[in-house]
Amino acid sequence: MSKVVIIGGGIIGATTAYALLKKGVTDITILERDTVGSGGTGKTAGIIRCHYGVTSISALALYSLDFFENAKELIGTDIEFEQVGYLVGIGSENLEPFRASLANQRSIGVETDEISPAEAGELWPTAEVSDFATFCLEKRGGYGDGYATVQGLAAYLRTQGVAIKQGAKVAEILTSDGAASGVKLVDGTVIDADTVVVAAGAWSVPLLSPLGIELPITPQFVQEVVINPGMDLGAPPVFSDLVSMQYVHLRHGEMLFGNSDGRAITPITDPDVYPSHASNEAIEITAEKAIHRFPGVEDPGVSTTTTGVVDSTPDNNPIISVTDISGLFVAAGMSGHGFKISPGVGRLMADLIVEGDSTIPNVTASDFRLTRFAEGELLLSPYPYVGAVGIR
Amino acid sequence: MKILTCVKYVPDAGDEVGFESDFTLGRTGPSSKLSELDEYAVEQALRLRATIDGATVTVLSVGPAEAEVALRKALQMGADEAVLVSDEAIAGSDVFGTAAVLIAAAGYLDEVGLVMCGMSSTDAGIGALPALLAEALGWPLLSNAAEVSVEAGQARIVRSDEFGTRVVEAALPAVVSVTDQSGEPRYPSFKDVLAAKKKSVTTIGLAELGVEAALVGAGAARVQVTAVVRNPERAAGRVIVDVDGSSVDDIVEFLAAATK
Ligand SMILES: Cc1cc2nc3c(=O)[nH]c(=O)nc-3n(C[C@H](O)[C@H](O)[C@H](O)COP(=O)(O)OP(=O)(O)OC[C@H]3O[C@@H](n4cnc5c(N)ncnc54)[C@H](O)[C@@H]3O)c2cc1C
Repeated sequence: MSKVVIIGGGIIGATTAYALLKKGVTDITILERDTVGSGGTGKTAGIIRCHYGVTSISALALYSLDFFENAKELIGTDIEFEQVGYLVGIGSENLEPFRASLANQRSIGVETDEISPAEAGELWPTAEVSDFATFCLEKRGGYGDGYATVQGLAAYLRTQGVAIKQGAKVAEILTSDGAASGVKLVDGTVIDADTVVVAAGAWSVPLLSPLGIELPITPQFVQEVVINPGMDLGAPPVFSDLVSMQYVHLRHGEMLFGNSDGRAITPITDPDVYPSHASNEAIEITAEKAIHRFPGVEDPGVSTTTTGVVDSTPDNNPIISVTDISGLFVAAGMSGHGFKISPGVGRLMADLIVEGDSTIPNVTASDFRLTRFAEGELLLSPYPYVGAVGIR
Repeated sequence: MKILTCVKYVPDAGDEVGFESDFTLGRTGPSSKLSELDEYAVEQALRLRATIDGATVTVLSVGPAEAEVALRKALQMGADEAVLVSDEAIAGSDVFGTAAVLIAAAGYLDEVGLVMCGMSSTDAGIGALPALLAEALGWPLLSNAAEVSVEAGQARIVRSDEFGTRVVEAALPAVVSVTDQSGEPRYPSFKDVLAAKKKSVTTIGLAELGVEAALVGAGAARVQVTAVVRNPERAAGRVIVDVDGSSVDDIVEFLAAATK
């Protein structure tokens, strides 16, 4: 294998190139239609945690932690990982799956401790915690900065000889004799390759369908509300509230609220056409939930809102897979949680290209195969939470 | 006294601009919203409310049903009530048609003592509406205010323009338009957001206002848009790469050629 072309300059394209480099692959080109990080990566809330029911996902996240923690040494830039910890609170209806999931996570090496509502209340003194049955705290969790991370990686990759072409939109993936042979850009330029990796989020769908490969990916519009608490809240852990179904974290003194009950996420047809700001209704829902959960924040107000698109698959888990066309690979459909697992996803993609199988502990490559949807074998958590959308 | 604040529902600057078949601007892009320049008018209305005994803020918009989104935003900021004038006959109106509807609505609503507007809309950018309203109502116009206050029935504004800074006063009722220098619009507090949820937007048509359909809409518009053309693509710029400081000569040469 000699020439690799990666379509998409998001975090998945960048981590794939990084992992390939570490395996000694040197002729790598990343093609990005706009600028590095301009897709979902530049909009990410950046939450980092290993709390997952699906073992392979949890293991990808665990593998990825090493990168986030050591990025400065590995790539020479600070990626702004704030390791404030990750807190999950659940109601009594979820006690059983919660404890089973924690046991499973610990069995693969995730450091996570069950703590009482009183202890959680000390970490978040402004929060109402009496309606939670229990909590867990993952000390190595926190939040990162998607844009800083992908830019840091891109700078490093350039120093290692990876070509990163921005403003290079791929129009077509070329094949010959049933194998990938390169890509053609919208300006007609042809770039030869014997390995093509499609890491273009929801935009991967139209790149592959002309080849008869249908990705079951739906672009979904997500909205987040940033709240000015009007007071100093310190640096508490990221808070996943599985009673009110929301996640909250503090960024530059402001609270970022995401809704995880599914109401803030709507399927759309074109991943490039969606509102630039959250709807009045999304703001109302956030206000109701926030006022209930944070009575200690006296006069919270909306500071700004952010929106973005996530590329969801039917089981809300990624596709990291070979295809029917030899030399053509896909790493897409991150379903709104691709940042925290991205170093692992890149490594698994590189594993599939070079070794043909996963080399990451506790990660089963076939879990992420594209054919699982047609086979009806969705990748679902054995410990599902009542009421939560399926990314836990 | 009611402070009537006129607001417009406009496409977001980031949306792809679309035009209807009659060349009018598509109003309902994915991010259409309360015009940012009108947020300043809402803000000043809310600040004035706090200084005038018994004052309330009514936000008023003329637009399609979707314009409720803009009014709801103003309610979240803290306005007391919201009125939308929506009627198929209004579609395609120019600024004169819009003014006719707003004037009728100002008469329809009781006790309006002050009409507030932004300095212009962010989509059409005509900026003539405040003057048209003042003229038709027979009220004084205090335009392009960077500061507004009301005391003992007198409105007072500070206006800065190319002629300097002026203080202008007039007795109420009056029309005031405010600029984007008048003070940053507030972010809605959660208390106001939840209070707004309980308020409703009153929608009325031309019949309630007694406005004849023939006076508004595309047919009555004095402004006719006959064509829409795309700006020519910008030619690629020239990049001068400087490794040894010689770029100064290149730049001088370029400028000399360009100014010939
Ligand atoms: C609001 C929001 C909050 C999120 N919060 C979290 C979180 O807290 N934690 C977490 O782990 N994840 C989170 N995510 C998800 C995470 O950000 C994404 O899963 C991840 O960034 C996806 O990376 P990607 O490289 O697959 O996609 P992208 O970053 O979208 O990259 C794909 C790239 O492909 C390019 N492209 C598209 N078509 C072409 C073409 N034809 N030719 C060339 N290039 C092309 C695009 O321009 C884009 O840059 C969030 C996402 C959003 C939107």
